[in-house]
Amino acid sequence: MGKRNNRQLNKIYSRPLPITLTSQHYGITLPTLYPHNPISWIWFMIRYCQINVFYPVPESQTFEVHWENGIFKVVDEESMMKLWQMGFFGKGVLSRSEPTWKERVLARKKENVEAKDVAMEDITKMRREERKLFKSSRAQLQELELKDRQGIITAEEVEQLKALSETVQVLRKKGRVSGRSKSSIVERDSDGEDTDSEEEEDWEELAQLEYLQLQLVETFFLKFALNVINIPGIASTFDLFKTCCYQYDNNQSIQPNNKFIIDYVVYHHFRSLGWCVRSGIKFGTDFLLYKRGPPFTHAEYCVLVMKPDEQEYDWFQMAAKARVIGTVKKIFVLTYVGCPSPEEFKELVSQCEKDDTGLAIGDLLQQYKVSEILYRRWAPSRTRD
Amino acid sequence: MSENELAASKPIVLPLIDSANPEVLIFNTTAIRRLRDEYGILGVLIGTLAQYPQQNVFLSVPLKLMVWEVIWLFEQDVCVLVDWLKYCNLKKDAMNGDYKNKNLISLDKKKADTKPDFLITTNDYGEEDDWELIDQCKVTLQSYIDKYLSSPNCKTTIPQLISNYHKFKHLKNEGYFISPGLKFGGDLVIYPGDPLRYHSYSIIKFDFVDINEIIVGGRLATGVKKNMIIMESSHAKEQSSVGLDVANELFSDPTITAYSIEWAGFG
Repeated sequence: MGKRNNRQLNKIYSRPLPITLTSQHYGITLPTLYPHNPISWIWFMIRYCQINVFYPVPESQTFEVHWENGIFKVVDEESMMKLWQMGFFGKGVLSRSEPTWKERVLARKKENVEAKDVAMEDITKMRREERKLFKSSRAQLQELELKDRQGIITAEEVEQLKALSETVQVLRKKGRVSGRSKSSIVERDSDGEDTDSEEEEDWEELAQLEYLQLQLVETFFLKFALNVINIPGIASTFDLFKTCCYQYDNNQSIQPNNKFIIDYVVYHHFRSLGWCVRSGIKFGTDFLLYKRGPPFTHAEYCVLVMKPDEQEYDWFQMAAKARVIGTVKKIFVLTYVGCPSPEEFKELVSQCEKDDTGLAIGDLLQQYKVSEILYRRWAPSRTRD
Repeated sequence: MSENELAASKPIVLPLIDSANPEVLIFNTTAIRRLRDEYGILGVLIGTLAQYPQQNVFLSVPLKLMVWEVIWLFEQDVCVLVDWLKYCNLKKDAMNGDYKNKNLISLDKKKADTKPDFLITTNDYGEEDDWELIDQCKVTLQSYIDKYLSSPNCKTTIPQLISNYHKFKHLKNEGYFISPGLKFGGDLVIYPGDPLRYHSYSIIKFDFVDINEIIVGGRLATGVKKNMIIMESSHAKEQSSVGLDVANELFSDPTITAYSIEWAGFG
């Protein structure tokens, strides 16, 4: 991605989580701290105390999440956009990940008007078509070149050969450039607001059919760790916790190795270490770790949460997963989660039941331990030299 | 040539090494050749040399057969399964003190008369098979399967084995050459002809535990220019394994349905 584009992205995705910080809310910052200058230390302390005393902690915006048919949905357009832009939560059900369905439809509807935004899906489509064209013209070119070498080429075909070799050259160059720097992305309008009235009308006409689907772990993270969502029908954090657990444990008692808890522990672990965690289902794993988020870089790591003993993955599954992950140049991380004993777990859950604030769940989750192992497919004959 | 013709009329000897953890390992190159040429059974060559540990393109004897290949050969009635240790010991007795037999070296000279419980084999044991002795050491399919299932490394159940064998048999009878598919994360890889001449275009997966495997399998297969095939047998799976006539069940012919999965849209 080019430099200019990066600046745009930085502006759109400036916040890593959907919470409002005091500094952003009031537009204040702490003074710069010079380690060798004691006065700057004092000034820093004074400002620090001032800010903490005089400015109340700003309320973060809360989002409405609906619980329908076993799915957590966000239907409000603004919330969808914000949850995506601040921390890359959820997935648009009609899009690849960012909920762009409406944008894409609108762009298609007014094809005569030049499209201002090109969605990621369209870029992929364009690239694939370009590639197809490149491959077919390359095949044709090779055929003609062979004829040329054999000396059975006609004058007409010589012309064709010249034309083709030019096309192939152009396509090859283009493929390289658009593959790397994505120059075909039309930059987003920096203001983003100067839409003309015609467009406004279109916007009104088209109903938003898309909603943002949140994973269980994402929903629980937004509620338990950030407390920025509100789910009608599920009042307390512990209710949400139970609802999520019952998705895996049908009998009404929750086991310590419940899949939701284990997944959540891993999700929270990586989120708190600053990674952007998204579902890794497209590579057959549980999570993908992005350094900042999907628009910035490719995911670097694929995380597989190892199952408790009885239902371990067999070697066929591991080999297949490792091979898929190896071909997409990611690193395969196996995470093992140590669970508390059933007695401990039971006691902590009963404490959670008494506690309204949902903070006791934190004590419960602290009993889980996460450890990671990197796994790599290695073929000795291929890796030598 | 006359020797070969003579040999061709005889069933193929499948030596069963270590009856506790049954493994069919073939050292006889003539038998390996016959398996490949006449029956399209590939097996896996697993022999390698200590001096050449990275040799992994073409390995050497012994040839290891998959359990399904053994059962298939049984069903075709072209092989005999032989308890190889017993056979060698009997042979040694028959030779009566003739220690030229290099297969049977007892490390301890004093115990030369007792029967050793280990086996030393060279690539080609160089002698004619003694059919009289082989008849004495035959292992039935039933006992082979029992031992296979009770070996500690085996996690398959009888119904699973039966249904997987039906799938294998279906593919084999369609004329495919079959080799194990672990390197592609599947159970089998099928080739339209001898793998030395043809590329494979399908990975076979017998059964799925979770949906992720379809994603991974489809993606992997498409990435290596193949497709993935899931198979389903009409054979009733839920049967008690007690008192089951395994051989009969194995040799029945249920209808097999196969589905192939490919990732669309990849260049």
